[in-house]
Amino acid sequence: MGAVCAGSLRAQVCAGHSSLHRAPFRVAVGAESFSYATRLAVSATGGRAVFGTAAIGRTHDAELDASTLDIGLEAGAELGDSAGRVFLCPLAALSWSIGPEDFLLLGSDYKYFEGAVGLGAAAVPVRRGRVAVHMAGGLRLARLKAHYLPGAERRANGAQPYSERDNYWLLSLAVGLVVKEVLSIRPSVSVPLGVETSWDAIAVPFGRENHELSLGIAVGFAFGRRSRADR
Amino acid sequence: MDAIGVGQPNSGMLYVYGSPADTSFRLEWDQQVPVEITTTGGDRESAVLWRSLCPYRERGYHFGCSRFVVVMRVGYHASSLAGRVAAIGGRFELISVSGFLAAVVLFSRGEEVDRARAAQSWPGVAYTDLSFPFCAPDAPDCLSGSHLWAPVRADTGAAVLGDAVVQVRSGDTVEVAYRQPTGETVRARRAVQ
Repeated sequence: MGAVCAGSLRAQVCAGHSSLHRAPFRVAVGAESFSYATRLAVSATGGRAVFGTAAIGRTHDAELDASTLDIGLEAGAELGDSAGRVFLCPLAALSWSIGPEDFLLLGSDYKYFEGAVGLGAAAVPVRRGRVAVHMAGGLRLARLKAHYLPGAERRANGAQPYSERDNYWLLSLAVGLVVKEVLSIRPSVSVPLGVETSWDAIAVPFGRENHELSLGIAVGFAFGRRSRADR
Repeated sequence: MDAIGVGQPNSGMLYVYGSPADTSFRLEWDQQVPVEITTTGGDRESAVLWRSLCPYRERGYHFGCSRFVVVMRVGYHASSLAGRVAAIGGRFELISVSGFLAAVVLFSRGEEVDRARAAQSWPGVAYTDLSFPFCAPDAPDCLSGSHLWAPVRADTGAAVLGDAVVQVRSGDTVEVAYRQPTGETVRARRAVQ
């Protein structure tokens, strides 16, 4: 699911965390709240000017007893000014969501695949001693494919698998509180725009209702030896 | 609330239902509609109504809140599951004569999918299914997203105030009352057969 990377799991400076130029590795845990579901996820990021992130999470809609296993990969660049106060982050992401399975006891399974490209930006307007505040935002264009597989009984009655595709924009904003360039605490909001798919046909949008406001929080821990240039 | 009603006690429960005057009204998850249930036998209980149509959202699939259907394999009778149904906080609303089919009502909300899925592993169960909303014969707009209901436990014992079980016997009258935000009280009565 695109929001695996786009929402709670972006683990680089343009998502409100500390810069990878300071410490090249980061692990992060995040939670995100949608209109009808919540997501918990973990991610690992490595790199400096160029970075990669791998993430895994689970999204759960308690009322529908519907869950997806979310896997995300993201790669990008962290381009900063010499003072380390302004950053730009072009990025590309792929994500998969497996589930829900046996949705509403109908025997039908769903899978989602998404690719996205986007641009993030970050600034460090406040730095006091070992504490810094990061303001971050990003916009990405996502291409979603949702795949429906009817259960055996439904297939026997003539139901056929089908796929729906849609393009949409995802706008995200975050504020990161970064301590000693190691610990980052990052609340965020994200809003999908331009979603046109008939979601009635593909079960659970999980953060992809048009104009649906999602709230997230992530905590990141950076580690690893700093580069010579940053010491 | 434009209309309120109470069903005939049956199978150890009774239904309370209500229909807002505005059919575009949608009860939110964190909202409750409290009602008072009294009987001429001396019992008094409180209950809260929730939506009869789930989930609490407009789009996508919908099903009856707090209910599911059990279909048994050949050679099994649904009545053998009464203990399991009680253990998950429910009761059989009806069981077909052959025992092949049964409808379960839960006295809680938001658990019907989870409970129905778990019931698929009960002995003798072929499969379970979510069900259509309950429609009392005289309940208006019962398939509307605005319609509200609540199943309430009932038995024929001596009245115990506030035990969440309506003690009611044949010949009693059950009254359900809802106090409007304006202070006016809407009431409905039913004679128990």
